[in-house]
Amino acid sequence: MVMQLKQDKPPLIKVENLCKFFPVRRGFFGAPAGYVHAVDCVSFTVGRGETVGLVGESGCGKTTAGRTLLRLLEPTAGRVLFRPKEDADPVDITAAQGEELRRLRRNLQIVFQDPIGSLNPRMTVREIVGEGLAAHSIGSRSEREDRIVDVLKLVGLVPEHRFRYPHEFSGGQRQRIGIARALILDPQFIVCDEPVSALDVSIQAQIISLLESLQEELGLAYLFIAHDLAVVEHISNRIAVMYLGKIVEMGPAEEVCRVPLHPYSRTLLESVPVPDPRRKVKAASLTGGVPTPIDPPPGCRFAGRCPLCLEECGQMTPPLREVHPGHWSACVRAEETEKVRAIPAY
Amino acid sequence: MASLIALAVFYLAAVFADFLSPYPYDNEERSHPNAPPTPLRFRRADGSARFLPFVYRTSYTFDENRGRVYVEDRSAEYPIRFFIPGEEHRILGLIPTRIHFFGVDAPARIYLLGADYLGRDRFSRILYGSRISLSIGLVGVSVSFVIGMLVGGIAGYFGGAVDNALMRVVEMVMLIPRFYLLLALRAALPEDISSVRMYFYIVFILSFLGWAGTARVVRGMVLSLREQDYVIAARALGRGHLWVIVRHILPNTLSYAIVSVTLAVPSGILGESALSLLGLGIQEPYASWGNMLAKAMNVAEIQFNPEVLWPGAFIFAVVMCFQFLGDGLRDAFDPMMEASGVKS
Amino acid sequence: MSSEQATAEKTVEAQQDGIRPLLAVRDLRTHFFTERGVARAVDGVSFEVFPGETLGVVGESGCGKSVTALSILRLVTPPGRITGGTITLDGQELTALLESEMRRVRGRKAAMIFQEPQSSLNPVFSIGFQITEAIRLHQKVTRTEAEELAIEMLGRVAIPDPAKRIGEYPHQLSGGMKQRAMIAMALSCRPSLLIADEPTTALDVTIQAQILNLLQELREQLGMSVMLITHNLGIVAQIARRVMVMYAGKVVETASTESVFHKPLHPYTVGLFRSLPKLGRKSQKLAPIPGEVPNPLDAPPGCRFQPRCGLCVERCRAEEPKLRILGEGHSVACHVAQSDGAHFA
Repeated sequence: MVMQLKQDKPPLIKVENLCKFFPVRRGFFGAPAGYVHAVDCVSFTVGRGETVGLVGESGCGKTTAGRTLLRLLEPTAGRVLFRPKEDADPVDITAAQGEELRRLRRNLQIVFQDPIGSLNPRMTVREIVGEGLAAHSIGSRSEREDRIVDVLKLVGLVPEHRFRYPHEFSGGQRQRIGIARALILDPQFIVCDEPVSALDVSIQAQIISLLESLQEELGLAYLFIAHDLAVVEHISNRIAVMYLGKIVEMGPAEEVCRVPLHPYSRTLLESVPVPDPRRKVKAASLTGGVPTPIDPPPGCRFAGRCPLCLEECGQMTPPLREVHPGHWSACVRAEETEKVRAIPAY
Repeated sequence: MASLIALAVFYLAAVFADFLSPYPYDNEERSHPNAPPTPLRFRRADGSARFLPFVYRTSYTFDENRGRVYVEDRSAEYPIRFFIPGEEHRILGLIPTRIHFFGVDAPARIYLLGADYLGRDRFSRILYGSRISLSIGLVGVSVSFVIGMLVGGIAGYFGGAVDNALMRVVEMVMLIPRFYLLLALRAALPEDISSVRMYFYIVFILSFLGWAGTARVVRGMVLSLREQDYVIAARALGRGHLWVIVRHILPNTLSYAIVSVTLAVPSGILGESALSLLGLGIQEPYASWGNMLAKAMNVAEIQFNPEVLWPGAFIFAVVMCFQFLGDGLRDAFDPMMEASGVKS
Repeated sequence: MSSEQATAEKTVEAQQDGIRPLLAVRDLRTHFFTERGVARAVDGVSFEVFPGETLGVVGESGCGKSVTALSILRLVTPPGRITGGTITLDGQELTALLESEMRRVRGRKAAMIFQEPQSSLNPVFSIGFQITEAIRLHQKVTRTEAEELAIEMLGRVAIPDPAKRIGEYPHQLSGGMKQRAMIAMALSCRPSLLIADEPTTALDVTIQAQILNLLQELREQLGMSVMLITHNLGIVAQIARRVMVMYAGKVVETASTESVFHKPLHPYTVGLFRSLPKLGRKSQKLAPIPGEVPNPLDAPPGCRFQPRCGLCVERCRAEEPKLRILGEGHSVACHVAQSDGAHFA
């Protein structure tokens, strides 16, 4: 059930059946009344220098997936294999302990959505950006200073900025500081958790362009988590669509956005308001609400709202299957979905 | 800012109480019970003016209702003199000296705010009392704050069963009405003890009262700070738990801590006053604002000697100052203030 | 009324075949008097909303679009203050009204919905109670009549089973349902103008589509005008008839939606489009606008977009551009703009 784009090269990150359940407690000392299946058996790969987009609506588990992958949350089950060098043996991030995990973290970084909450208001930019160097005791004082200046320049800030505090910066600049903090340890993989969602259109484009050029320059791989389909399509090589903790579709970015193979992806794409007054969007007619993620019953989680739902959809969870090479869907009627008209570009 | 200056004045006055006050707190003058404030004169009996004020010696007679009436003896002027020698004391507890900031030569006495029923200078006693009343709030609240931060921090950071257990204890403490707890704790302590030990007991009582609320709030803050993106970022960079707590969580609770201490000090001051007012706190002849106010519990006393309310005025002023200071600090500490500016 | 304003109004009326605008805002100035200086959040904004139309107001954060909306209902709070201009709603001059008179305008003539439905609804009252209260505030009806009206409104905003839902509390409703309830409340007194400030920004894309559809249907059914404030160009393209683009407290371009999207004339508008990733156009490189939005306390001289503008000339730095009419109903505040778009060549 693990897919990858380039079959010949081993992937940088290989996520296998990753699960994260949160217990729901009732009462003071009570046993969990159930579990929120935030991430439920998710598998995917990220290649070297590749961007994989993870889309879905709020509460679908995309952020939890990104954090569990980095061991910022303890996974309930599953493995995350990281291959630092192409010919090296993969390391299981979920099994690493203590010093080993700490060393692994140098390669695996994260950029956040909230440009305010992600920077400690009591630290200067120098302290924030340089924290990674300090954490791993890298370099002398002057070497660190040089590295901080280099990274700040790399993300489009000026060296003088390092003596200031986060609140003196605009949203876009703060996001650059966050990116600089992630870059300082020269990682290979960065989870970008909605890095542009809180930004204005013109600033958003600046940050997307920055992330793209950094990828080119440094050979980074991204897991790009977002809810804006146009942004995700723009930056990603491949896209995974999540719904209630499950990946329902995964494939090359353009294919997923043009010929979605899952009714949910189609609904998402058709709901995007097109910035062209000549093309009026007929809003998707989704019925029913999002079911609760607490101990969901078996069956396709989209079944209750799906226009193509069959009786069997409510009984067993449809597995992800490769409908076209590299394009996977978890819908039993994926082939029919495809025959509906393609999503036109705008 | 003005409140900060005012508080600084109050605390400096407390530190230098023995120097600033014309008489020691226990200096009695039985011939002047309940004397009203001594009038400060600028004009001599013959009508000529004097630059520095002077006082007359006073003594009392009884009026037809057997109330005391104080009259001035205009035969001799006693100018107010600065840096006048008086009872020996030690400035800051170190430098022995006989010099007082101001005073008048005996046998005249100067009562700026009147005298109490034993003829002790109320102004001097308020100054001495401020040492106890002002410090006890600060010390008591600081102690309770350390406990509160510790318990709250542990509960918030470790979560789970530890959190559950600690928070239940906190709730139990908070369940008991404050004043009954105050009395109950006082009742649990021996009655006949020296004022020094009593001071420490009151500190203990006050800190026992205060820590629960602090612990709850700190726990909440730590819980939310733990989820902040920059805390997660620090962990992603490979920082250990201890570092994260010390560098990222605690500094961000500090502003709350300082503001909260500031706002909690008045409750400490009021708590001590309440105990002493009931005669359960600092005992005579030691002065505290609370036990000085105890006399004001009698309505007739207020009617005939309204000056007994002076310690209350000082409590009021100090408590207000702390409130304003707390509000000011809260604004000043908010790091987002400058960033927020104007939004569309 | 100055002669300049008179001409402006005349032009507009000519364009609209003599239809009087429902809302006419002239030279509105709302400034914030902060400790660090005066922020001119809205600085000389003029526009109108015609009966039955949807006007889209777009711009990035800090452009003054929300402050404009709040100013219309006179809901700006200190340190902000309306320092100049006129707001005429349905022939009534709002800036001169007493607060008590203004209260009768809010809700009855013009209503507003906000971005965060959860913070706009009071969590301790049922939605039914909140809607009936809104109705009874402006209409002389009994409690039962108001309740019937509320149920009708909830039905109109497509909340299923409204008679049952009316007793529910905000936390029992999903985000989309809360926004529907907000809309029901806003429309309960049949205002002629609905100001919607980022009504779908907090919602998921599928729910957003539903709410936008609903807004359009209701506008047609009730014959009201909508002033839709958003940063999302897609939303504007889908539901607005005319668009007003704002930047740093100024209107930079106003035109029909068709013109703005297919023949944008202001460099900022064009920059916005070039910054926008578009579905199905993956290969298209983004061309971000360089720089940052100016600090409202320290606006640049001349044109406020001038420091970020690729077409900036000497004059832009010296003189503030006024809105010029460059086509039918198409005004642009730019010195270099030409009606055929040749300045971009």
